[in-house]
Amino acid sequence: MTMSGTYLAHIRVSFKPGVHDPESETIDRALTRLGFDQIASLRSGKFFDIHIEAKTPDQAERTASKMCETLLANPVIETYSVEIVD
Amino acid sequence: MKFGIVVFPGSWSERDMHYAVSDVLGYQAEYIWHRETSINGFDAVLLPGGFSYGDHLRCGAIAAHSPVMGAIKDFANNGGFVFGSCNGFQILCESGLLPGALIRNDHLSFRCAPGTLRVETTATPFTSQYADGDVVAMPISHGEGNFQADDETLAMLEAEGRVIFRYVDDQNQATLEANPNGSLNNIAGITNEQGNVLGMMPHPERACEPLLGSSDGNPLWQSIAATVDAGKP
Repeated sequence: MTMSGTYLAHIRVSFKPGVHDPESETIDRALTRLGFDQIASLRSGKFFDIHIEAKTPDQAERTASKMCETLLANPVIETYSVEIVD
Repeated sequence: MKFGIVVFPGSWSERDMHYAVSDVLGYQAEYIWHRETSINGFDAVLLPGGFSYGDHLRCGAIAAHSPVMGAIKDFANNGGFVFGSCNGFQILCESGLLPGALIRNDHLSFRCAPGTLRVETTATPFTSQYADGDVVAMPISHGEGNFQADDETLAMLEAEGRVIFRYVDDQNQATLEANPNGSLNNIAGITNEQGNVLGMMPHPERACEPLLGSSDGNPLWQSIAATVDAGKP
C-alpha cells in the first residue's frame, strides 16, 4: 500500500526586485498609454504548472523547489515561489 | 594548437568559428557534439553563438545542463581555456562558470550591427596579441545581451580587471549611445576569477578577414594559441 499521489505545483518565476526588467517596463508603458493610468507597479514573469508524483504535499513542494533551483529559475536574477494547490 | 568547438542543437556560429580558426588562421579545429562526456585532446574549447534549445526557458539555460558541460567545467577548473561568444556567453553564465546573467536588451529589439569595443586589458590568455586600449571592430547579433549582476559582483569585476571588452563609440568613450543593449557599465565581455574562461556578446569569428570589414577578431584566437604554445596558464 502506498500513500503516493499526484500533486499540482503552481510555480512562479520572476525577476528579483531591483533587477532592471525592460519587458515589464514596456508592458507598463503600453498599458499606461492605453489609458490605464492606475498602475502603481507591474511585474511580469513565468509560470509553470507541474503535476508531481510524491508521497506528501511537503515532498512535492521540496521537489518543485529543487526544480526551481536546478533549472527553472536563475538565482542570479530571479526569485521563485511554489504553491501546492491540489 | 587544437580548438574544440561545441555544437548544441540550435547553435549557429560553429562553422564561422571553425572557418576563422582553421581556414583563416590554420589551427586545428574539431566539432564537439553536446552529448560528448569527454573532451580530451583539446587545448581550448569554444562555445558558439546561436539559439541552443531554441532559447527556451532562458537563453543558455538548457544547454548549461548538457552532458558536455560537465566535462567543460572540469576542463575549466583544471585551467583549460574556455571561450564563449553570444549564446556561448549566456551558457557560461547559466552554468556558473562566469558570474552575472544576460537578459533582454533594454530596447527589446534584436540587434545585428557592427560593434566597436575597447580592449580593456591585454593581461589575459585571450587578449595578449592586442594592445592595451585597442579599439576593435566586431559585430554584435543578439536580442539578450544585456549584462546584469548585483552591485557587489559588478564592483568585483571592475576592481579585479575582469571586464575585458567594453562597448565604446568612435571616440573611444563608453557612452550610453555606444551601449547596444543596456549592459551595466557597457560591459561586452568578462573573465572568471582565474582568467581562463572568457565570455563576450560580440562575435570575433565574424571579424576574421578584410572582406567582412574587420579582421579584429583574429588576435583573440592568436592570443589563445600563443598562451597554449608558451605552455603557461
